[in-house]
Amino acid sequence: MTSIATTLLAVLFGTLASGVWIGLTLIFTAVVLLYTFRSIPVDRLLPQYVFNILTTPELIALPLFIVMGEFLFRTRLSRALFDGLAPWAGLLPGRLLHVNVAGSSIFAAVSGSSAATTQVVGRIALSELERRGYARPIAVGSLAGAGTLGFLIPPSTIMIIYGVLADESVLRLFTAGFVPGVLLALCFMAWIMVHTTIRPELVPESERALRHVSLGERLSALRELAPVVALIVAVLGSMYGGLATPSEAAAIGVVGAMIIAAAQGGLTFATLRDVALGSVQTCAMIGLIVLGASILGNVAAILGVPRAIAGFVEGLGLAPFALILVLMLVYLVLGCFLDGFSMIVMTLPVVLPLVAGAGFDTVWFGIFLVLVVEMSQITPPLGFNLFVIQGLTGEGLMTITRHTLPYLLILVGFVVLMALFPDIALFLPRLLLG
Amino acid sequence: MSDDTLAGAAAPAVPAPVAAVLSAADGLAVLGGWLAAACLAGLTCLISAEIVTAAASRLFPSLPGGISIAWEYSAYLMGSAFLFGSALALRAGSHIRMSVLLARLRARGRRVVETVASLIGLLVTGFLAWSLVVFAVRSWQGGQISGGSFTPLWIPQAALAAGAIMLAVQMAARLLRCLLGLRPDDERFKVSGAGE
Amino acid sequence: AVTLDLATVWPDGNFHTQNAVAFADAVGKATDGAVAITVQSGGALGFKGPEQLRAVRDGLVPMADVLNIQQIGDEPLLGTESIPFLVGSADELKVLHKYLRPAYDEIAAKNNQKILYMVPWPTQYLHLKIKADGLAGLEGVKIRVPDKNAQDMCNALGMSAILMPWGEVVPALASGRVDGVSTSATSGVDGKFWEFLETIYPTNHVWSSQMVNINLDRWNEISPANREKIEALAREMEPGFWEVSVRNDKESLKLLTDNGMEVMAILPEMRAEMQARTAPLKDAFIERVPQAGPIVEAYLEELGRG
Ligand code: NA
Ligand code: NA
Repeated sequence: MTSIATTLLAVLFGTLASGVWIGLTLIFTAVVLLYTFRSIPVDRLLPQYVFNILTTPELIALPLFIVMGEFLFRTRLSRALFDGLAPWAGLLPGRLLHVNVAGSSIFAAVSGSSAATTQVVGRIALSELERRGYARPIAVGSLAGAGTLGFLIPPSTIMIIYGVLADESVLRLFTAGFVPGVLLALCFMAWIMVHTTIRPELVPESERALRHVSLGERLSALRELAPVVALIVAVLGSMYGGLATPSEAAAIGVVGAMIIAAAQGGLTFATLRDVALGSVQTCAMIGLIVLGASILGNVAAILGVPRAIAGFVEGLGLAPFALILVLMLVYLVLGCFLDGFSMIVMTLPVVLPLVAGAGFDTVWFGIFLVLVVEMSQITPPLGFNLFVIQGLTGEGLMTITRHTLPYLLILVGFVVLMALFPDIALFLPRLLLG
Repeated sequence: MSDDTLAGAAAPAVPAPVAAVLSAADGLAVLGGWLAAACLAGLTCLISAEIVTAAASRLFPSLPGGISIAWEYSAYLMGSAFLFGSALALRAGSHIRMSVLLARLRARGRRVVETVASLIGLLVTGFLAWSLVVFAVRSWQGGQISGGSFTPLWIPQAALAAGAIMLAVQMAARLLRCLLGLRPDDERFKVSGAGE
Repeated sequence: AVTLDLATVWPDGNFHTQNAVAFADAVGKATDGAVAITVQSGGALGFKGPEQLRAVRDGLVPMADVLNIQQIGDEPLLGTESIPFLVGSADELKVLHKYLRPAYDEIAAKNNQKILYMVPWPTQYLHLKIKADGLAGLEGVKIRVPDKNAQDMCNALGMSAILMPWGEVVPALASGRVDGVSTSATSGVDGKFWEFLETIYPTNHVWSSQMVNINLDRWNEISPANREKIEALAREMEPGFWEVSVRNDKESLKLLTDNGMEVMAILPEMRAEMQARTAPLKDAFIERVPQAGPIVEAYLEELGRG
C-alpha cells in the first residue's frame, strides 16, 4: 500500500508541476498506477470509464447551469441584481460582497451541485464586484467558500448518493441540510464583516460609507430584482410543483435566462455566438477534470487505497468525538486528491458501520460527509470550486486557494460545532418528519 | 491573465505546409466547438421538450407522460459536448493546469516544460482517442444496444471517439507549435470572461 | 493467494450484497485464505449494471454480481426473465432455470466467464399514490420504470411509463412529477417509499436474477482443489440465498405496510386482463430472440400452461 501511495503522489505532483492539464494529469496517474500495480487491460477499461462518466445522468444539470450562467452574464441582470441589493447590502460591513453569499445560498436552493452554484453566481457577480472596485481576493475567496453551499442546501446530489448507499431517507437528509446551510451562510457573512472591518481597503472607497437611503428608495430598488426573482421562482416552482425533476429544472433556468436576455434586447447573433462558445469551453474544462477525477477515483478503489485508510482509522479504536475529528482530517486529505463522490462511495462501507457503532446518527453523518465534500471542493490540487473560479478569472490556483483559506477554516470549525451540537442538523427533520 | 507563455521571442517564420497543417488543426477545433454547442442546444431542447410533454400529459392524460429517450439521449449529448469542445478549449488555453512552475521559468525553460507537457498531453489524449475508437468498433461489431431504448451504442461512442480525436490532433498541433517556438495558446479563441 | 474484487452496483444494505459478502467469507475460510474475494459495493469500481457481463469478459474486474435482464445489449437471451407474467414465484423460476441455466452457462462461457450462483430478485410490485380496483383506474398513471422492457409492459397496461435515472426518483416522487415506481419491495424500502406513496399492487409481473460470475482466466489461476471447493460452496449456499430473497420480500413488504402503505388486492379479472394485454410482449421477445422460443415452450409445458 505504501508503494501505491508513494507512486500516486509522485506521478500526480510531478505531472502537475510540469504544467500538464489537470484532467489529463489525473488520467495519466490512473493509467500509470494500473500498469504498475495491476494486470488489467487498461486500453479496454479506460474507454468504458470515459463513456460511463461522461454520460452520467447525475451530471446533466451541470452543463445546463453553465449555459444559464453564460446567458445571465450577457444580460443586464447582474447589474440589476446589484442595484436592487445595494441599498440593503449597504447596511452591512462588507457591502455588496454579501451578494456572493446570499446569491450562492439562493442558487444552492436551485441547483444540486457546488460547482454549478459557483459557476452561475461567479458569472453574475465577479465582474460586477470587480467593476465596482471591490478587492479581488475577498471577492474570489467568499465566492469559492459560499459556492460550497450548493451541496448542503437542498437539493443536493451528494445527499442523494449518500441516501442510496447508506439506506437513509433522502427527504430526511434534505431537511437536515437546511439549517446547517443557513447557519454556514451566516458564518461566511459574519467573516466578511469581520474581515472588511479589519481591512476596510477591501471595499472600494465609494461604497464604504453608509449611504442614507430612505426606506421608500430601498423598497423601490427591490423592483430591480424582479427578473432574478422571476427566474428563481420559475426554476424552484417547476421543481417543487412537480413539473420538473431537479435536473430538468436546470433546462427551465436556461430557457428563462434566454427569455430575459431576449426581453432586454440582448440576444444578438454575436451574443449567441459568445454564449455558445463560452459555455462549450467551460463545459469542456469542467468535463475533462470530472473525467480525470472519476477515473482516478475508480482506480484508487481498484487499488484499495481509501479502504486501507478507512481500515487504518478503524484500527485506532478512537472515542466517538476523537473519531469524528480524525475522520474529518482523513477526509480533508483525501479530498485534496479525490472528488467528493468517489470519496464517499469508497470509504462508506468501512466508515459507516464504524460511525454508527460509535453512536452517531446516520442522518447527522450524512451532513458531516456533505461538509467534508464541501471542503474537498476548495482544497488543491483537486478542488472544483477553485477550478471554476480559475476558469472565470484566470487567477492561479494557489492564489485562489489562499484567498479561500478562511472559508475552509470556517467549514472546519463548523464541523466541530456540529459534532458538539448534533441538533443543528437533526432538530429540523425531527420537528417536521418525526 | 497573461498566457503568452512563449512570448518574448519574435515569432519565427513557419514553412507554408506546416502553417497549413496548424490552421487545419485550428479549423478542426472550431468545428468541434460548434458541434459541442449543437449538442448543448440539443440537450436543452430535449429536456425542455420532456418537461412540456410531461406537463401536457397532466392536462390530457391520454398523451404520453414523457419522452422515453430524453434522459438517455441527453446523457449522450452531454458526453459528446464535453469532448467535442475540448480541442477548442485547449487551443484557447481554457483547460486548467498548475502554472506555478511555468510562471517562474525564463523563456527557454518555459519552452522546454511546455514541450514536455504537450508531449505527455499527446500521450494521454492519443491513448484516449485510440482506445475509444477501438471501443466503438468493438461495440459496433458486437451489435451492442442500450437497455433504455435499444439504441446501438456505437453511435454515441463514436461521437466521443471523434471528440477525443480532435483533442489529440490539437494536442499534436500544440506540440508542433512548442517545437517551432510558436505561442501554444491563442486567447483569440477564448470568449471574454468575467475577469477580463 | 488469489485476490479477487467482486463488483456490484447494490449498496451494502442490499441482501444481494450481503449474500455476496457471506459467499466471499465462506470461500476465504474454505480455501484457507488462498482465494480472497473483496466485495466492492455501491458501484465503487465505476461499472454500471448493464456492462457487468462485458467487464468480467474483458477482465476489467475478476468477478461481478450481474443482473441478467440488464445484459440484453450484449446477450439478448439473458432478457428472457423480463417477459411479463412468465414467472409467478420462486418455485416457477426454479423450473424456468432448469431450461435456461444450460443456455446461460453457454453464454457465460462464450463471454469468458463462469456463473457461480444465481439469486432472484423477489417479486415486483407497482408502488403508487392512488387506489384502483381495475386497470381502468391505472390509466395514464405516471410510473417510473428502469428500462425499455419494463416501459413496454407498463405502457401495455395503459399506464404512462417514464424512464428516469434513480437519482431523480425521490425528488420526482416528492414533487409529484411521477405517481409511482415499478420495483421490488426491497427497493421500495431502500427508497423509503412510504414517505411519498400510499399503495402497493402485488402485480408479481417479473422475476429476474442476479448471477455472480467469475472471469475464466482468473478462475483458472485458482488451484483445481480450491475451484472444486468454491463450486461446492456455491451449490450449497445458493438455496439459502434464495430463501434470503424470499424472506427479504416478506420483511420489506411488512416494513412498507408498517409504515402506512396499503397492499391492494389484484382481482382475478384484473390479473387476467393484465396478462392478456402483455401477451404480445412475449411473442415480440421470442421473435426478437428466437433461441428463447423452445426454452419458454418447455417451461410452460412443464407448468401445464403450454
Ligand atoms: Na443545492
Ligand atoms: Na480538493
